[in-house]
Amino acid sequence: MKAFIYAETAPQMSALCGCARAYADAVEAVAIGDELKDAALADKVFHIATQAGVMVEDYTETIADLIANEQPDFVFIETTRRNKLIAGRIAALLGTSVMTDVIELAENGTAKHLVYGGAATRTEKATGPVAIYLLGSDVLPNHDAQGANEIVEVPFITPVSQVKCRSVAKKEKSAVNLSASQTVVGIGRGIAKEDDLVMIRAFADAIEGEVGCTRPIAEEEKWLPREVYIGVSGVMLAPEVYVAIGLSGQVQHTVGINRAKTIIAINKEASAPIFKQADYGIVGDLYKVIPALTEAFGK
Amino acid sequence: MDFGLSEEQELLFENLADLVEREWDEEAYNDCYYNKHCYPRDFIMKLQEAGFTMLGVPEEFGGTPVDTVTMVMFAKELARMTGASLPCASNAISIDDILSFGSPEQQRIVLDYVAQNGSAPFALGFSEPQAGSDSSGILTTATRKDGKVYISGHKTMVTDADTSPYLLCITKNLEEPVAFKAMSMWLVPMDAPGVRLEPLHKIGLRTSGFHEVYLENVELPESSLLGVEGAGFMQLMKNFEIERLMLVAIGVGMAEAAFEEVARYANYREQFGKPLGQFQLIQEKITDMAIKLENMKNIIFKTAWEKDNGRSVQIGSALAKRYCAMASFEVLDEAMQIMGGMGYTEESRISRMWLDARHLRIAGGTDEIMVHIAGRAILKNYK
Amino acid sequence: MNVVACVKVVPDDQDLTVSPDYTLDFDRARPSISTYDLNAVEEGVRLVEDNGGSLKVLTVGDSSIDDSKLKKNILSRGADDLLMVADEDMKAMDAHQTACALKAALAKIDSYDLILCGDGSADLYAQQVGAQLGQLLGIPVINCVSKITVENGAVIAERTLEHEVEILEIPMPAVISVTSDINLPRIAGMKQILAAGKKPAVVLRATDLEYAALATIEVLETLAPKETDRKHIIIEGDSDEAIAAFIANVAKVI
Repeated sequence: MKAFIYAETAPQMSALCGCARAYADAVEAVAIGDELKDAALADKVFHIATQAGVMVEDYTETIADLIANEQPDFVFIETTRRNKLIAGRIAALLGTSVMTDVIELAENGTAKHLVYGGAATRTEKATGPVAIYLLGSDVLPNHDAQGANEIVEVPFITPVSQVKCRSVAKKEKSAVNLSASQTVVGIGRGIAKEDDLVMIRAFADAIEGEVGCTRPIAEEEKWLPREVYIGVSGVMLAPEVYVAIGLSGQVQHTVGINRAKTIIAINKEASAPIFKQADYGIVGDLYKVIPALTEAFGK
Repeated sequence: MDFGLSEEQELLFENLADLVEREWDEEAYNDCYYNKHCYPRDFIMKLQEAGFTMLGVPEEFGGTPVDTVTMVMFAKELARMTGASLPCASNAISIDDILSFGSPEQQRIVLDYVAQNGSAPFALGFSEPQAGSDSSGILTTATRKDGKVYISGHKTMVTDADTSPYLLCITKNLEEPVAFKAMSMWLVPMDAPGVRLEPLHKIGLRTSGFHEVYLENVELPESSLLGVEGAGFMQLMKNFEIERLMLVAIGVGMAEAAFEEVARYANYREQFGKPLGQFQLIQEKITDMAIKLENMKNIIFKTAWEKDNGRSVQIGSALAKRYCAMASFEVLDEAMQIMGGMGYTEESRISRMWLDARHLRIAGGTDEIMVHIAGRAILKNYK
Repeated sequence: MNVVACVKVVPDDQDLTVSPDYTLDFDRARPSISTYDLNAVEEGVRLVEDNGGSLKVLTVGDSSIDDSKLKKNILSRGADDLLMVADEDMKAMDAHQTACALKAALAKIDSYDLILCGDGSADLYAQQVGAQLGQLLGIPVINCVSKITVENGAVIAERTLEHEVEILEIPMPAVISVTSDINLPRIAGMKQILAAGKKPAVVLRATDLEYAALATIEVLETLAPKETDRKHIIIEGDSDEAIAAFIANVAKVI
């Protein structure tokens, strides 16, 4: 079995190359530019020289052509928004479909991913000669990357695309990295107004947690950045503790917190579905409960 | 008989549900209701943007004409989804008098105001201290002098008097012996000299004001007359049957909201080691509430259908008004009983709906007046 | 400009139920417009309002999507007309098949300047069809677009990625997938709902198209997850005593 690896970031390139050893005896990386040329990554590194004035997307044809020629069994592509586009275009060129957002990959190549807003897990496999996956190394068994790194130069195929990138602005880094936080406080529509976030943040600080939210809080109210919205089209978490405040617990949200070790719910509606998934809960006014919690745990 | 909704009606209510899900804010409404005593303007304006406050208004006035069944269903669904008494579903009825009988200038005032506020620009000044159910006994007068009109009198229980720019004031020509030929309608600007308000404090419906309105020689131009002099009563009564249906549709919607809430509550609230719903005393309440809800919905929708099909609803609308005013309150009262102490607090919307629904037995013609209308008419059919 | 918004018809996931064997039961789920595709339609409406032209909605799927209410629902959102391909041969297509079907359907349309897709479908959320469609058509394709303006016949798109925001100049025709926060899709009023029934809706079968694409993905099973065992220690009420008891409970883990 032969696996191709393509990642946007160096750490994921290395991690995925390592993980791929569990699935393939030949691990071959596709690298744009020189950053990873000298790291012991894989058996082979297909090196595409950086081209001036092109977007990353403009390497799509080159990578697709390489896959068509080299015929790997598996192609592992790091899940990023940009790669969603690149992988889709590669699949179109190869006449197949990508298995996206893989949460589990069996040795024989069958993959699982969440469907119906997280209500179910679908198991699927590619029917054609090559299987393309969008995934992160966190869902695969960990192995250290290694290999002879035999460099193979790949000529750049000039694409037809005429998309011009006028500018790139670094996003203001929301200091928050929810996925890395062991304690997460999630808020929903039960929070009456934006000013009340002060109270929520005080509580989060008291328990050394980060604040996330449901989709409406990020996308309709825009009280919090989209990066901290938890759910099927947002971030998926597995913290030690998740505190759900004033959120009902719709499946589109709870799919993002199901893997939390402990779930704590605060909601004034006893019928809120979140209580069915909670380890600890209180049916009461969050405006009474939260200040009391902040007081108790802030010491 | 077809009890199904049309595809258009289904889509209408799905879109309304989306809007309520997106925009309804229970905390903000309670703040309006219990603290600020103000109109839930933000939410009403969302209804306005989607065109829902102009449902039933003719197309030439920028509305969307729909049949009576759809209007009644919409009023019921809005109340069910929000658990609130929001009269804006009846705008088409409130403003119909102006659109039907008013001058182009009066029509423009009303349509502009609805477009900007989602509600009609006037409060109705009809009842007086001595003339409640006996509305023919009003004593407010309009007198002419030097090309001007002077209004004098005392209106009471005027909803929204403090927030409306106009009073739709009914006056009486005391010389005219035939009551229904004696009344006229005037659009009185609330800021005119001689208009004075004194508040009354309702126990429910607290998002709107309730006032005594004193009119002392309020000077108006002739153009303030609405429609035809002496035809005021007939103009006012043009839609009163549908008005009654729309009014109680709100009660039916609130009763349904409470019913759905307590039915769920009975399934999870445990007492004596088991869910409330496993006690037959609670099952009996749930069953009887369901029967009343079925009856209420049947009678309002059927009466609306009769209206749409050109049949007389003189008796039907009185029966529907009387029955639904009483039964919706009974359902809310039983909902409060199932909820127990929590249902009696301001934390639960059941208590709010209970307060609101009680007024339906009084407003728009009391339960007793409905007997007066229906009783005589039914017996006449068997003479 | 002539805009085509692609939408997928999916079972309404509010109505999905899980059977005892963890399979999903779709019996009560009515066909509905995939939520995220409403953003594509809304953006199309907005672009046509600002720049003139027309908006067509395009959808492909199995024969059940040829549903009168669904068509009115789609057209009540502001599009001028609808092109639907409904055929049992198009049941449960994968991303590649769907893109091939859309391409074949687009061949039936005189001209288009911009094809809009949603962020991902509400059922599978693979976010792949837009990317595949653009590639198959051989025209520019970009995803994650959070703002669109039109300048001198080109689309100026703001594209929001994880750590950066790109401003792109995309010549038309192009395929653009929009994010779910690009706009707030409007609520359809009764006027729009009534008008929808009178708008043109063309329904084609697979045989009307030049379309033949075999499945590239085999679905082995679709199962609801077994629920994680939770402790369910819930305190009712927010009296001082109740809150104290709750604090004592959560102190074990916080």
